Amino acid sequence: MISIQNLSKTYRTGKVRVEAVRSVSFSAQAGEVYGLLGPNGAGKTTTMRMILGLLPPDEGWAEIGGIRSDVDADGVKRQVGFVSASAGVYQWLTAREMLTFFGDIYSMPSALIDERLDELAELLQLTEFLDQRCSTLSTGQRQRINLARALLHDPPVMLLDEPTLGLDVVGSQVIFNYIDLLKSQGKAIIMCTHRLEQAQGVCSRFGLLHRGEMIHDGNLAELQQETGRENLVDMFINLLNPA
Amino acid sequence: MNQQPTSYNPVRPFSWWRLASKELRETLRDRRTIITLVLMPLLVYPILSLIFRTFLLSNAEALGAGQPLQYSIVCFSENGSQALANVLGPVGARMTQMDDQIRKENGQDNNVTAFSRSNVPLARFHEHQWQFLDDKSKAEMISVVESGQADVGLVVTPGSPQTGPLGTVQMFTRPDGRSQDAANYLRGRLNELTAYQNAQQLARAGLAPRPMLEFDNDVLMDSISGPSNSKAKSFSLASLVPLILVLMTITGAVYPAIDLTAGERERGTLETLMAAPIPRASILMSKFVAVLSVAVMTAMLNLVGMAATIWTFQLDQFLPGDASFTTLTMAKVLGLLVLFAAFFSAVLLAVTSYAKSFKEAQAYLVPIILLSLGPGLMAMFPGLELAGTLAITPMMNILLLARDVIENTVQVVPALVAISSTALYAGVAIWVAARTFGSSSMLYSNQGSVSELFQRPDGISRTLQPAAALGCMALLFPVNFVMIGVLGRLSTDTSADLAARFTIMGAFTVLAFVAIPYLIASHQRANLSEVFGLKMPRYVYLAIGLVLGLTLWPLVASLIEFYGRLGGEAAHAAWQKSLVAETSDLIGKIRKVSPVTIAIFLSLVPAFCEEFFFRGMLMRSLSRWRAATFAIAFSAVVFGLFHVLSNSVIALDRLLPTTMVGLVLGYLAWKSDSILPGVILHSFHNAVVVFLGYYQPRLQKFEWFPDESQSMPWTWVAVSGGCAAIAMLLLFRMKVDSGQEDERKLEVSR
Repeated sequence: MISIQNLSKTYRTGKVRVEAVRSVSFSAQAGEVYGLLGPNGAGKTTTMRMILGLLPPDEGWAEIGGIRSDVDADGVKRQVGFVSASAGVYQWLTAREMLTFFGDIYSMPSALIDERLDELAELLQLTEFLDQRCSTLSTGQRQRINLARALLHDPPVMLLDEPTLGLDVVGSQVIFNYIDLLKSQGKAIIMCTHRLEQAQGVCSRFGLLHRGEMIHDGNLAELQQETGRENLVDMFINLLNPA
Repeated sequence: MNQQPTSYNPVRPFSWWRLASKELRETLRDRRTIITLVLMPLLVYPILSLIFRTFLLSNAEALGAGQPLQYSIVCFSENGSQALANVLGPVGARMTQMDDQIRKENGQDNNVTAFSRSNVPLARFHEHQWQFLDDKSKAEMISVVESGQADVGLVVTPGSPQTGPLGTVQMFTRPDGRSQDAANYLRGRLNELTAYQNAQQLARAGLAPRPMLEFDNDVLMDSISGPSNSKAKSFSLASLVPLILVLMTITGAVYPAIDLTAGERERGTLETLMAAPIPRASILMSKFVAVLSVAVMTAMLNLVGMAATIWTFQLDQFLPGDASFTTLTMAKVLGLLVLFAAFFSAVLLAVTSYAKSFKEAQAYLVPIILLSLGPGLMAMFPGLELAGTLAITPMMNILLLARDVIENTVQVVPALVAISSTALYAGVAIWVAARTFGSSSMLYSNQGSVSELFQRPDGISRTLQPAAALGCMALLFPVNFVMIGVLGRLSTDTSADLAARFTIMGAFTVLAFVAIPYLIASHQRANLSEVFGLKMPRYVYLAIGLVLGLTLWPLVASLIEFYGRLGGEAAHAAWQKSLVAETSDLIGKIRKVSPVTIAIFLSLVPAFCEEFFFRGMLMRSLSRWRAATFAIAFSAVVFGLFHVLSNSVIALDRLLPTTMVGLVLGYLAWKSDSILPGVILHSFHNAVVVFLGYYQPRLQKFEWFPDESQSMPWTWVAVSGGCAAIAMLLLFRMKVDSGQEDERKLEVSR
């Protein structure tokens, strides 16, 4: 479903040259949640943006459902629901207006938009604030609206970049529960997160990125064998401070 | 449980209008938009008009001290001063008689006989300031009016009083409001007198009606000093109204333009939008429609607010001549504002798309708004005509056209030129905005610090960073400005002065366009031959440069002439006359300078130095960052703009021809991968133009050589155009140096 091959990206600012992503390869299948983990600045967000075709890679390519994002970015975008940590909301629109607008963008018929809105409102507990202006919503409510926005057109692939950033424990649990549900519905999901304990529960496979490089790629058992650590938190600390 | 989901298959195509309506809805809910949109026209105009009216009335009182307004009228007759007296004497006497009788019939007891359009009491006919010139010359009368010593000039030709009117009058006026008012007043009074006479005669004996005076066509002259300095000078509200409306339209467009680009980027909604399967151009168009709609709404509300204020406070009395503020006028002005709003909205979007935050966008827009005040204020100068360069100067052309619409003095050709050029600018600005908006480099670019510009690379580089070339360009602008200022202060009284001036000019040119770029490139450890394109090209390019250098000038001259004629034949003739007058003295002195000095300092030095910077440093570094077409076009426009500033004045008529020559030079430099063919083209082009003037007296002895006031012979244009076309075709068919193109692609891909 998702195939990433040798993705590389270098940023240049004046004399400074930062290799944000270095020849990263991995894949994720339908019904699988791939946890792309790593410390801040590891290259997770850059990788996500390249997968979606928002950033052109210097080398390599990303393919979703047989379409390469560097060839047909719109074709890829149509199959993807994207939630980023920095995603905002339209503060002068109500949550319902914003979601309907995105339904329009994906050219969904009005009846289908309403049907999906009801469905998502119930699952993500949006009903009570659906008709409030987005500027009045809390961080958690905004993040849930963004998740609903990404799911509205029922894409087969989800790219979730820190979907629980700034959320409290309860708020993050709502999101993780829903991700679990999406997995069971057969969606292919790539998720970046710092909530390692919850990620360990929901992700099928993991990729550990550090300074733009893929250090480990595999399921939990494989990672445990490779690193000699029991859980993701220990693996992560080991990654940052190799003893 | 697992199933293979498929993406939603759209059943209807995406419509950017839906996107635009969302942008518009969001913008219109923002209270900051509402403040600019509604509160400004509601509050600002009444306050402004109160101040305006108070100022005008106090000013009028100070000027007139309650005295009736007097016009200054100068009269002349080719038949001598006695003939003048014979015609105007009876007219004046009859006018006084008529006024007295009308006052008597109406039971009035004052001396006031008429009121002006601005409701100012006018002096009685014989109490105006009459100047009767003797039979010296008509030219003297014209100069009296042109210099503003009189408001209107009358040339009187006696008729035959027994059979027809007493005489024929031709009025000479300036374009300003006061002169036009004076002419309208005179015509109105004389018509009034004719009507009175006819009524009297018919009442008495049933005689056939005949006017006392007949009118010949008016003559509109250029103003030398603007409107006369006599009392109660006319204030042209017709110039102020469009300026306020345009500034308000800009104000209306600024906030949504920033909010829908930099604001969205700051709030994180732009990335979400870019992650949706919509073409970038559609997103940009929807934003453009939203900004334009708000700008037009602001324009409409301001127009209505202003019209209501003008009507309520009776400010229309300050409109000159035939000016009016009817519904039709308002509709026309609104049409122009829509056009201007389209242009300015696109410019705003192109600029704000670069900004990462609201604050940064504001920082970018402040200089643009301040810059646009320049043409706005210039358009208020009385007597400015919508013609030639002014007809294609952004903003100024729309302001002058709107003024003409209000004054009912629109001329079709300049109006069409103004409208089509503004539409063209709007199209170009939208194109630029569409290319930059939402690109990954804009979406995720870092804000570089100033120190990065001065950082020195570690090793020798084959190319120069565009930032260094653009920084050099920014530095050269004030240097060029100072250079022009210094040269302007040097004496040109003698040919020795001129030779010294040329030498200093050459030194400045070398300093500005060679020394400074050289130092910057050296500092950046760039390979100088590569950066400036100094390698020897194939000889065929040198030959093409030579042919184009010898053949482009008639085409350029024709272009300048065509450009001048856009404003109408009369304006063109006046412009040509003034050009000949301005330059003939200078050319006379230049002819005494050695031709070698001329060749070095007016041909070779500027050609090499300007090619070194414009086609060398600027174009070559830009072509490694963007497409070659962009680099050629950008360097050509900058080349044109640098030539606009000449002799401390803005010579806008030089912009288009110089830019076009810049395009040819850029194309030649790109194809040949060297600036040397361009140096040949540039130096021969300069040499031909300068030496044609230099040797004109000798050349004029040949019959085939045109006089300086004549147009370029069409045979010259055809032959040179044909040769230039062949050279361009040959150039077009040549292949770009492959090494250069490969390297460019490599740079772009990085």
